[in-house]
Amino acid sequence: MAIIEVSGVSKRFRDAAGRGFYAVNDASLSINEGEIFAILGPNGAGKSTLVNMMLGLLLPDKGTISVMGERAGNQEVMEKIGYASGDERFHWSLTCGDILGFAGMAYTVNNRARRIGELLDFFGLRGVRDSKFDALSTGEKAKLALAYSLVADPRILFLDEPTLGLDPDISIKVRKEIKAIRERRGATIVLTSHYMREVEYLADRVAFINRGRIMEVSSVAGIRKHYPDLENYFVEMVKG
Amino acid sequence: MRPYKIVAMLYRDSLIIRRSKWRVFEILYFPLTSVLVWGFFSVYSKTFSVEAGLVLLAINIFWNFAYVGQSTANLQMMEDIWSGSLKAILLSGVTEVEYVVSRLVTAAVTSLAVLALMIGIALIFVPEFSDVLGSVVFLSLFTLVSSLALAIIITGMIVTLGKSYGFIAWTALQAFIFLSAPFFPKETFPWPVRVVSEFMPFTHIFEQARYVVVGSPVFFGKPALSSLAYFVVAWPLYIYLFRRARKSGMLAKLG
Repeated sequence: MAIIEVSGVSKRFRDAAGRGFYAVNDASLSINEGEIFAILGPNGAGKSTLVNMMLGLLLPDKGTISVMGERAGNQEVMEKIGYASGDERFHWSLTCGDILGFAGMAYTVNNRARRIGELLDFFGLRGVRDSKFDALSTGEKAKLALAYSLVADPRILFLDEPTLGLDPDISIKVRKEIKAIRERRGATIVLTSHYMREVEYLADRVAFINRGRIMEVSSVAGIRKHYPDLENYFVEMVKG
Repeated sequence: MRPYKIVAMLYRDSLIIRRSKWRVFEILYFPLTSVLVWGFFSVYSKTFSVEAGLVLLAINIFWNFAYVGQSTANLQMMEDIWSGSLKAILLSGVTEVEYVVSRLVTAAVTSLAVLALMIGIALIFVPEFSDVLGSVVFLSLFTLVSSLALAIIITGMIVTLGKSYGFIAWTALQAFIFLSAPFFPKETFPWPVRVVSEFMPFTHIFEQARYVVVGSPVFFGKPALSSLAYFVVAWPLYIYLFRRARKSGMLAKLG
């Protein structure tokens, strides 16, 4: 059953010279409940534009996006969505505990202290609970972003380059955590990443987007039948 | 509008203020140094013109009060943009209206505390100030409403123009104050500026403030009307600008 439905969505911007171009052009796709769905494409392909429209931060010029049967950005829907980015940032003066505490209040989480404690333990952040955001390492910041996105136990989790800039050992741990989130909570995960091995490890299905157009939507298992790995697939798709 | 979202934002604001001690110093610095300068001047001016000193002192109190109200709301937003946390806040289900309302509440509480301190200091320099305290409080309320209305409009402008226009958060009020003829009647301006001045939010407040300190009769009708008009117009304008930013992609780029 589709939890996110994108139908005929287009978004046009102007470049520095004032020429119009399509960041996303007539895109359609369905994301099923409980799956990990990756959106792949080269830089500037339209991935972020598409995700921002699913999040309701950007309005499409044409087409519709429904999330859990409602318009993207709807207040009720936003309560059930989590978002984390490898480049996620929070206010420099707030501590880990403050940041998660705010999320707990904003989402009116029952038994907030217990939930925050669980997340701090799950991500190994208890030791830095009282450290200010600026004092955290890159890995701790990435894990905090994931913890923040999970405070309200979201039904849909958007992950934008979740292991960006992380050391390989921490990346492996974060990937395992992402997989565990889906397995334990049954959340739908929408992932964008430039690390093909990460996508191969995590995703069930992949949409490939280039120059604003969705070129293909297929399962990772299906891709593996024709390509030795996702990196080869990526290169071939970019070549067109 | 959901109160729990606003309470969550207020909790976050209180933590930021508590965890950045210099922030409190920054909020107090300009209003308190300013009221000290003009307080001493009003003591000195008793030897040649009591009214001149009082007018300068009173107008500076209103000016600083307006500045703290407007800039606190807008600088909080700029901090959210600079720190890159605005996106996380909006994706936590906080709507554009809840976001601004929480900023206005924090700004109102902060600026009222600063106003109380400024009035306390003014009373030490000029004990006669207590005779006009009632009128000053009334005019302060209109000043607060006007400065919060400006904060709403400026938030909308920054959202729609982008973070490179963040400087209007701390510069816009200066232009509004100048055009509101703070220390002199608006008739002093050449006629085109006089017309603009008539529609400025603080013109009628400053005018009545000058009347208050020199003991002339005061009327609150115009200050009340102009401040409320700004506040009422600010909301649809802000919602329109926010929607425009959502359409143009500026909101997603803000941080």
